[in-house]
Amino acid sequence: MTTKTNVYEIPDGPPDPQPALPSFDYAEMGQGCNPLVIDNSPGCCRAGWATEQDPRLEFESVVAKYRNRKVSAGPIQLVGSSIYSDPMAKSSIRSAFDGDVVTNFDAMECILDYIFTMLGCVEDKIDQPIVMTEAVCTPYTSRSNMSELLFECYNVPSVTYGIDSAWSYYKNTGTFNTDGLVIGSGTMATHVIPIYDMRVHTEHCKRINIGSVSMEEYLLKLLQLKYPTFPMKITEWQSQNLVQNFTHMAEDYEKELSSYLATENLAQKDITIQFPFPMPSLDERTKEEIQQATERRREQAKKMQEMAAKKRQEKVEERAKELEELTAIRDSKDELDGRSYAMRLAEAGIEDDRDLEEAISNAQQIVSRAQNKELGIEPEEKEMPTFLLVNIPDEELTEEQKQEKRKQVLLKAGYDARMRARVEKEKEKVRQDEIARQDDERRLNHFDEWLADLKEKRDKTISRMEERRTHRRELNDRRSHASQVRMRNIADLAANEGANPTGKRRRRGEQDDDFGAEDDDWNIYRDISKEDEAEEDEEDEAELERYNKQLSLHAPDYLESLDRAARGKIENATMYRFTEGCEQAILEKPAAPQKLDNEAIVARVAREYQLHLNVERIRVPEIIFRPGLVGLDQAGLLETIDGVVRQTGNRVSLLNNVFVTGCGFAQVSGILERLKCDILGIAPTGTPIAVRRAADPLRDAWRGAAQWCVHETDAFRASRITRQDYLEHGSEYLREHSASNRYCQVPARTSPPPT
Amino acid sequence: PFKNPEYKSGRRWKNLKQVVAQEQAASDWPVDFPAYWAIDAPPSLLPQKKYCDITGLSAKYTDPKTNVRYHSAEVYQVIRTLPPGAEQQYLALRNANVTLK
Repeated sequence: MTTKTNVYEIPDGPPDPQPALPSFDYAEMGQGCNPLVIDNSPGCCRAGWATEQDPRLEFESVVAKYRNRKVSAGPIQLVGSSIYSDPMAKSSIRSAFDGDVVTNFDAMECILDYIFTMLGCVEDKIDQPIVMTEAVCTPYTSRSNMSELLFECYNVPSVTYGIDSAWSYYKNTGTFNTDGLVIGSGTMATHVIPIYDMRVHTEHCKRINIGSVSMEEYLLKLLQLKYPTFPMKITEWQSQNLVQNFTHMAEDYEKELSSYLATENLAQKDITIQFPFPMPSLDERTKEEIQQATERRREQAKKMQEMAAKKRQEKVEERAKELEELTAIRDSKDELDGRSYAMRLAEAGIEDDRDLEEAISNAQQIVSRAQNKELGIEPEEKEMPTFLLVNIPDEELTEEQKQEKRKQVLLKAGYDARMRARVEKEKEKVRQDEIARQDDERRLNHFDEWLADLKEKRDKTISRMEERRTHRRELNDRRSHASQVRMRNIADLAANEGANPTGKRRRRGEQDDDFGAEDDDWNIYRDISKEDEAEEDEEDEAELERYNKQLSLHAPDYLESLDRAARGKIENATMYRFTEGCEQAILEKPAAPQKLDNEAIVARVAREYQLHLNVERIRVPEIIFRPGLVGLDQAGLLETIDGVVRQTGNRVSLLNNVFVTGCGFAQVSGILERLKCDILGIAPTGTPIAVRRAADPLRDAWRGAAQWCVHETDAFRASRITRQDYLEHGSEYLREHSASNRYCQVPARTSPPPT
Repeated sequence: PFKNPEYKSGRRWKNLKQVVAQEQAASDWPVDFPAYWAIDAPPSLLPQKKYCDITGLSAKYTDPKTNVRYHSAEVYQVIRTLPPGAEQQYLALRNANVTLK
C-alpha cells in the first residue's frame, strides 16, 4: 500500500466563531475627530478607528433578521459569522451586496448599526468622519443611497469614499507618487487599475467578473461532476476551504496540464480528501475470542450428536421390547385356545398369523442391525436372492407362477442394475485415484511442466466462463449476432412445423406433428432458450476453485502477479488516475484469495468517502486567465493588463510595479511567478518587470485607508463630503482624491435614449 | 440611540442589474466616463484553447452529438456511458448547455 502522505481530513463546517467583544472606549477614541474607517466589501467587512493598527471588527457582511417567538417578541438581527450557528438564522440570511456594489441598504443599515454599537457609541449621533470603501466606479444610485443612509439616518459629519485596492497600494508603497498597476482581486470581481500622476485612474481601469466566489463555485461543480455517486453532499464552505488550501497557479498551464496525471507527478500532487464517514460494524473479537466461539460450537455439535445417539438407543430398546411381546404372543399361541389368542392378537393390533410373523421379523431385523452397528460388524451382503422362476420358460408355469415369475423378473432387473452401478462407481473411483496419483507424480518430478499445464487449464476455464457471460449478455442485446442467430432458429422451426427432426417418415395426411414423441426433440428448447447454463457455470467455478487452491499451495506468487498485472492495467488508464489518484485498484474478481481483516474493511469504507484533487488544483485558478473556461466572454487577466497599459499610452513603467492585493486570487500561491512569466511575454524586451503582493492582502486596504487619512491630513480634509455638500450638490456627490472614483455631474436625459 | 428616529427604512431595493440599467438610461453619459458598465473587460481577441470538459486536460476532439470536448479515446468511452442529463451538466460548466425556454 502506498503510504498516504497527502490525505487531508476535511472538517464538516467552519469552526465555531468567536463572538466579537464590544468596546467601551468610544468617548476617548472619538476625540479629535478620529475618523472611523470602514472597509466595506462583499466578503468581509472591517471597521475600526483610524489611529489603530488593526481593524477592531472583522466580520462577514451578511445579516439575518428573523422572528423567534420563543426567545423574544420582536425580530432579532444578527450580523456576521454567528449566523451560521443558528439554523433559523441561516435560512433568512441576506447580503448587503449584489456583485461588488451595495444594493440592499436594509442589510447595510444593520451592518452599520452593528459597527457603531460594537464600537461603543451611546450618544445621539455619530460625530466622527467616516471613511468608507466603495466599488470601482460604483453606480451613482448606490452611492447616493449610501450617502443618504449615512447623513440622514446616522447624522455623520462627513464621509470619504475610496477604492480599497488603491489604499492597499498606499499602505504597501507609502505614497501615491510611484506609478503602478494594481490588480485588486475581490470576491466577486477582479479589477486592473493603473496608478500614475499621483492618482488612481479609473477611466482606464477594467473589470473581469471573476472573483474568489467564482473559483469556489467552479470547484464545487467540478467535484460534483467528477464523483456523481459520492455519498455525501459537499458544502460551499468545504469548497472554499479546499480552494484556499490546495489550489495553486500553474506557471505554464499547458505543460503542467499534460504532465499532471503522469505517474511520477501524481504521487506528489494528488491530494486525497477524506470526508467523515460512518464506521462499519466490525467484528471486534480478538483471536482468542474467536477460538472460544468455535470451541463452543464444536461442543454443542457433540452434545447434539450424543442426544441423537441416545434417542436411537431408546428406539432400539423399544423395538426390542416389542419383539419380546410379539414372540411371547407367538409362543403363547400354543398354550392358549383359539379365542383368547385371537383377542390377544387384536389387542396387539395384528390381524393374523402372517402379519405377526412379519412384524416379528421386522423387529428382529432392526434390533439385530442396531446390535451389529454397536459391535462394528458390517451388515453382511445380502445373499443374492434366488430367482428360480426366471429361467423357466413361460409355458411350463401355472398362472400363479407366471405372476411370481414376472415379479421376480422385475426384481432381478433391479438387482442387476444396482450391481452394475456399484461396479461402475468403483471403477470410476479407481480411475480418479489413478489420475490424482499421476498428477502428484508429475508434480513431484516435472514441476514446471505441471505448473504450466495447471495455469493453462485455469486460463481455459476462465475464458470459457467469460465466453458464456458475453454470450448471455449478447442474447439480451437485440442487435447482437447471437441474438439474430437465435431468432433465425426460431423462425426455421416455425417454418418447418410438422417436420420431425429425427428424420422419421412423415405421416401422410396427419395434421398434428408428433413433436415431442422422441426425447431429443425437446433439445430444441435448449438452443432457443436464453436461460443460463447454470450447472455448467457451477462446474466451471468449482474447477476454478480447485486450480486456484493448488496454485496457491505450490506457486503462490503466480496468482499475486496476475492480480498485480490486472491492477496495473486499470491504474494506467487516464480516467482512473483522474478519479482515484494513486490508490490501489480494487479488483472485482481477484485471482488471489483475499482476507479482509478489520483494518481492510475500514479502509474500504473510508475509500468510498474520499475525493481526489489533482487536475482541479490548477484548473480552478486558471479561470482568471481564461474566463472562457467558465463560459464568461471576457478577456483574461493578461490580456486585460495589456489593454490597460496600452490605453494609458503605453506606460511600461506601470509594469515595473505590479501590485496584487485583495481576498480572491491574490492569495493563490504561484500567482506572482505566473504573472511575471506572462507579462514578460507581452512587454517589450528589456522592460523591467516586478510583481509583488500586498503584505496582508486582506487587511491592508483597511490599514491603508487608516494610514492615509491620518498622515495625509490635507488630502483627507479635501476629500470629505460634508453634510453641506450632500445637501447642496445632491446625494450622488463625490469629492475626488487620490484613491477615489471619478465624478462628473451628469445631466438627466431629456431626449429618449438611443435604442 | 444614534439613529435618527425619523429615517424611513425598509424601502424596496433594486438589484444590481436593474440599478445599472436604470442608471444607464436615465442620464446622458459622456463617452469616456468610467461608469460601472463601461469598465467591463471586453471579450477576448485571442483564439481560445479548448480543454476537456471531463478531465480538464487539453481537448483536441469534440463529440459531434453533444459538443462535449474530450481528451482521448478513453475519455470518449466514458462520455458514451454517461447518463442522459450528465453531458449537459458538463457543458454547463462553460455555459454551453442547451437551455429550453
